[in-house]
Amino acid sequence: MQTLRLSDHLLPEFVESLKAWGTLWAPVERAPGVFDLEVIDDVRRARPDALRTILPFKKLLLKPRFTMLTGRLGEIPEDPGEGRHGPQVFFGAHACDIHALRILDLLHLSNFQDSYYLENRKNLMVVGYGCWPDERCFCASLDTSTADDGFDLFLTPLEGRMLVSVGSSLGDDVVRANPHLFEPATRQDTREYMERLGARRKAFTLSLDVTDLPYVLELKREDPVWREIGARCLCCGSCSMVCPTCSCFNVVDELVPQSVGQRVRLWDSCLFRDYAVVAGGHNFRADRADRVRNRYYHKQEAFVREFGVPSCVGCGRCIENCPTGINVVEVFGHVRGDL
Amino acid sequence: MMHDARPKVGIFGLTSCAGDQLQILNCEDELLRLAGRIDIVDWVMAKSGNDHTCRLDIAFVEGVVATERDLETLRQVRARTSFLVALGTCAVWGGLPAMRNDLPREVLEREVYSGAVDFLDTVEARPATDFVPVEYRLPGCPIERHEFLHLVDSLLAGTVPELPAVPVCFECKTRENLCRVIYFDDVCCGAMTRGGCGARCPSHGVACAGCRGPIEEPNYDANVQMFATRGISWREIATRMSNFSAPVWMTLGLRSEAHHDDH
Amino acid sequence: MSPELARARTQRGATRVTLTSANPYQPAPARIMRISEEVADTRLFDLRFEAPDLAERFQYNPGQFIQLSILGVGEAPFSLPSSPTRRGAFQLCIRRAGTFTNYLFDHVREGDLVGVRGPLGNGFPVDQFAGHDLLLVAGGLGMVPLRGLLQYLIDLRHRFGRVMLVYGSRTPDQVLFRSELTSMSRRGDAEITLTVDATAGQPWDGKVGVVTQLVDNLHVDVPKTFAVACGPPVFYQFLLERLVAAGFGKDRIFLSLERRMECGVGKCGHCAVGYTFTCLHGPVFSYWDAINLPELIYT
Repeated sequence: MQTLRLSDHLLPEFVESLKAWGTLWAPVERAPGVFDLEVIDDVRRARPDALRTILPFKKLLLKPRFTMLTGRLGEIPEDPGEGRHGPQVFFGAHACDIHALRILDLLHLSNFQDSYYLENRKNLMVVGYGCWPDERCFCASLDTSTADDGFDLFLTPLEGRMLVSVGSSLGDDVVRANPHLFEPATRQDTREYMERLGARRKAFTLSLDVTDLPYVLELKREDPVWREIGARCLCCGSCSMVCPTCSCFNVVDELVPQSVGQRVRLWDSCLFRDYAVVAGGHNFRADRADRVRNRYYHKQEAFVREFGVPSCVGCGRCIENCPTGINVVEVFGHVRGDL
Repeated sequence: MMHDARPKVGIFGLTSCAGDQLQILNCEDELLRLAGRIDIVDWVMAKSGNDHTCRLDIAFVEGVVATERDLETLRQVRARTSFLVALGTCAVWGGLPAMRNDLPREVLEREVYSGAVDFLDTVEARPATDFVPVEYRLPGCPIERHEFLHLVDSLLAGTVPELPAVPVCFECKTRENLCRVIYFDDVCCGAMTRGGCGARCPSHGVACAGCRGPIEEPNYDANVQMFATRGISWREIATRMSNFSAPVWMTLGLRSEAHHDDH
Repeated sequence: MSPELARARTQRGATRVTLTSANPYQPAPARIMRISEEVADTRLFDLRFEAPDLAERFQYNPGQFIQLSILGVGEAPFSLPSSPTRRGAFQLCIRRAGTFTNYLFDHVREGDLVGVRGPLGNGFPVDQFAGHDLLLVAGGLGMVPLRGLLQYLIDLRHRFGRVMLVYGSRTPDQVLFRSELTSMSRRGDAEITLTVDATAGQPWDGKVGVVTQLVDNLHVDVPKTFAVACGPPVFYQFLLERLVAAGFGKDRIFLSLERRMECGVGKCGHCAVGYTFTCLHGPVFSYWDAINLPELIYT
């Protein structure tokens, strides 16, 4: 992999240059200490160091709500293009985001390819940025704390400069278009990078023991912990909305004036009561505890069996956003019997 | 609903603030468009020359049953129409008028009117849906205009729209609001309340009051517990929740908790 | 991934990626050629894709399903009660059960266009069935996918051994495909036993009682036979274990199951049970799959 360096004072110019490649999205401080991913014009607002945005980047690929198809009642529908966003640049992706992107790819691009996702995915440039964990990060436990590929460019902050990894041909195009911004990395850069890597590894305070977790979960299916969490869970769906890999959706038809029909696709959560209700009214997961358990099993058991990896990247968003303070690491700790 | 003639529509108010009917009037241009497709034959609030006896294809009823006359009106409307819509949270859940059902009527009458009047014939306020079967429930305080229009357009096409059944938190999160509970320690009713409003209040920095009524099986206990562990008093929790989110059947329990808290 | 898991994965039905459109959510226009009242509140629809090449190209396995779409009203999954051996057209057998079917029954007429996506799901493992006896057990609307399988088995009669059907309905007026089943039976194409829970005062020359007992009376050559069952959850409760007690291997009993579905292509998540998407890896599962996926049949 090609490795370059970029001086800190050139960062704004670099970020500005990204606009040539598509709509530029970056984390922005929405309220003190709270960030969201926004389209930015003024590059000084970009906060690539922000650990978490309220919603993850998945909203760039599949919006919370968009019209998939539209047409007159009884006629053949067309795609109005509402779910297709053209070229976009995501500046400030962390390693966990990049792994989450892979997980979404596994789901949306295997078997039948989701054409809305595919188009936006192809049009997405990913510019990563090295982060530093806080007390809610547990990506190191899930092998998602670093990313070797899956990005176009990746910036790791060092003293006064960035180490820039070029991860794709598109990333290289960005470098070639701005040759004056980059220099070859020196041995000193590499040394500092390695030191940072080591120190960062030690900075994690939260960890999740995933050893044999799918099997442990199978053994603990009837554990009382699921009832206990079911009693605490509001089933508000916040954890699903903020999860970078949750991608369930609902499809609703609407009739607007003159019998024009719209088929609308909305984010959904398996915690919502009607999630598994079939025509005729039977609910396959009527119990709150069953829905809670299902979510955790999906992440750490079912997805592993289906795709070989868990669908959790340890970003800590669900911990940060649960109004009743349900903490995924504690939940699995209880299940294992550690707590 | 596809007749040669335009379907006959009636719009009625029981005890209520008429806010839902006002929302329909507020549809303005859209209402004019609809007027070409439906024939509003009975709407006391908006027009004269009403036909109070003819058969109706669609009837909308706003408000609660709080007097004998309300009940009579409701039963008449039910008998006249093949499709009845409970319009607004009062008609669906009881809404604000049902809030003080825990107090005897004579106490309420004395407190509000100083006992100096003799024209009151009120009974306990209950939603229209408690008395007659309805074909559709359109909640909201007031109703959302776009949901009303979707409903009418859908009925004209022979179907009914699917309203969101998910809590307000869903829409609130997708708008990336700062959670009123986590960041402000508010008694926010979003997790108990049915969405569809686009999380209007939290998006303007105000906690959800629950005006669209509860979702199916809200986790009241966990919500109360959540507020209490944030140091909010039982009284405050009870007051906020019993506005809309915990209608009628929950109110008494919550109030006795609040009472307990005071002693 | 462990070898067991890898094997389990490959045993599950291979997904056929032959959709009606490049956008998996885009329905293709199909015309309703005929509508007939099968039983009360249940209709049989004959459909044909509008595009002649698609109409000819449309191939499916018995047991697969399609998503039927009316833009502005909704979309819902329905099993195919017809057999792919009869090309050019296909059928749907639909019971009135909600907003979508209400519209379909009240406003859609012969000659109208609807949208169709599919075929979806895995279907029955008919290649595995070749050379074997087949015992089909249906309860209520569970007859719908089994009727497609039955037609298939009879159209390719020489490939299979005995074909047996035990079909339970609530009352005589609820029996689907009654005259067709009667003539199949009369021709000797299949051994068909019809039963009802109660005659409800209606004329009835079949059996009265639950399917489970009738299965015992068939004198099935168990090692030569595959069992295929489809019905509501309660239907499976006794039947499956009775079949196991009769000597059926749990991997030789197949079921077709129902779940809420939105996308039909393994994305939306609604039909997921454990590591399985009912729409993608099902709706047909072996009983062994069901035992290993606790939520699959019940709850």
